[in-house]
Amino acid sequence: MDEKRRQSLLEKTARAFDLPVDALAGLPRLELVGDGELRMENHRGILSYGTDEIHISGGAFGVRVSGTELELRTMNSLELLITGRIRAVELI
Amino acid sequence: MQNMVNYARGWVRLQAVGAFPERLLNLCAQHGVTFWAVEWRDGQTLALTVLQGHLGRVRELAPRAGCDLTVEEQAGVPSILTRFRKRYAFLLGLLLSVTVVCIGARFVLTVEVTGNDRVADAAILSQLRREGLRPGVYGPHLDTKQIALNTQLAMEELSWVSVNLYGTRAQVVVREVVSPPDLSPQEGTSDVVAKAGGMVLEMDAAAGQAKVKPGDMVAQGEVLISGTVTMEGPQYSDVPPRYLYVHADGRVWARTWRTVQAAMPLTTATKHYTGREKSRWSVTVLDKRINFFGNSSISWPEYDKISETHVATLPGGQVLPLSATRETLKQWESVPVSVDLTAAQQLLEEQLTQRLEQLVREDGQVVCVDWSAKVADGVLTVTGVAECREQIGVKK
Repeated sequence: MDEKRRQSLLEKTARAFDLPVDALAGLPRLELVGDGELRMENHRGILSYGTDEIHISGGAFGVRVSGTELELRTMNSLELLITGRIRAVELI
Repeated sequence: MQNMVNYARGWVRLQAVGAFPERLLNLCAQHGVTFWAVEWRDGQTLALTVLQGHLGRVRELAPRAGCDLTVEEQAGVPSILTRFRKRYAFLLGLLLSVTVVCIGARFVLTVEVTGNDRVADAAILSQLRREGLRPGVYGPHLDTKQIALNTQLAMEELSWVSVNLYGTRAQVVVREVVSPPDLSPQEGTSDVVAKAGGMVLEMDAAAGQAKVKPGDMVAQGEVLISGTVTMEGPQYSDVPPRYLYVHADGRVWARTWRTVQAAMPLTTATKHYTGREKSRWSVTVLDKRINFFGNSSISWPEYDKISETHVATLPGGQVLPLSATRETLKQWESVPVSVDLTAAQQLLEEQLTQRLEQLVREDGQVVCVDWSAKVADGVLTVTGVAECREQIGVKK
């Protein structure tokens, strides 16, 4: 991930006042349950999809989920759920 | 559970082919289209499953994502119902069934009576029928409180009546009147008299003054125990006797002689079935009888009508207001037959013996009977003179 990514004003404000950044600035929130389930909130859509790798847009950055037998179980405008054998989650 | 919900709502398996099929996923997510089981078949082909109700929305979104949609499979309840869309007879039957269930559930099908012991069910049901509560009546129009009140007022044997409607079942709960105890009157006087003449064997006076003693002969109606008790004054005094008035009570056993008589003609008429029969069927639904025969008049002068009713019941024994009745009409002729003299006499003696046992009641006894029989003008007359031992005292 780019270390020099610029933080938005809302993000800076949320951090300054110790407020939840995901709720205030709409940053993605990822929740990994073991190695079989990944839930992501505040996504911006699927960039590419496959059983071994899924790219998800998180707005200012992307998320790459690697593994085997990956499946997009459910998805709506706010959150998505990926199941399978998850090997790595990277921010790109 | 989720699979069952999806099946109930119906689902469609779609294949999307385009340059960027993932755009279709993003558009679906943004527009609230529920999808699952996404399968990436190759770089331009995507398969996904959506709810059947969202298919139209996906068809609108597909051109915006540059995808061509193909329906691969459909399943679920809506698909099954869609198959029956042009089966008009089935739909009509379904509609009729639903209508019958919806409307039929508002009619009273059974009337149950509970809480009665002495009063017969049939008597209560008859009164309820007069008040308007019967199988087949429209439930919401019933004024249950008024029916209960009227039934209670009409039947003196009932002290409380309640009518409850549970769907198609009307439950009638009753309480019977508790009879007051048989109290002897405290005022006035009464005697114990003989109900039949005879010779007194034993006296058991519980109240009152005995007027007879064992060995006396008494006639019917004679006072055995008097309710007027004479209380004599002291000996050699001028005090007049006083009288105490009570209700006499007691038992007086006596030997009695009773004469019973019965007669029978020696020629009698019997039924002879000619073999001609007719059967008529009818169905009773909700207390309405439907006959399956046109002309109900019978030209035969004499016939027997035998009805056989089959009532529909549920497995639990609940009786339904649906029954089929078969009436069998059998023609017969009257044929004169001579009666066997010995058999006729034996029959009359049996009848007279039963009559004697009724006369002496349960605690009495028929000691012996002398039978005599004679035939005059074609009539057999049997006479029995019986010696009995019975309780002859009755309050009067």
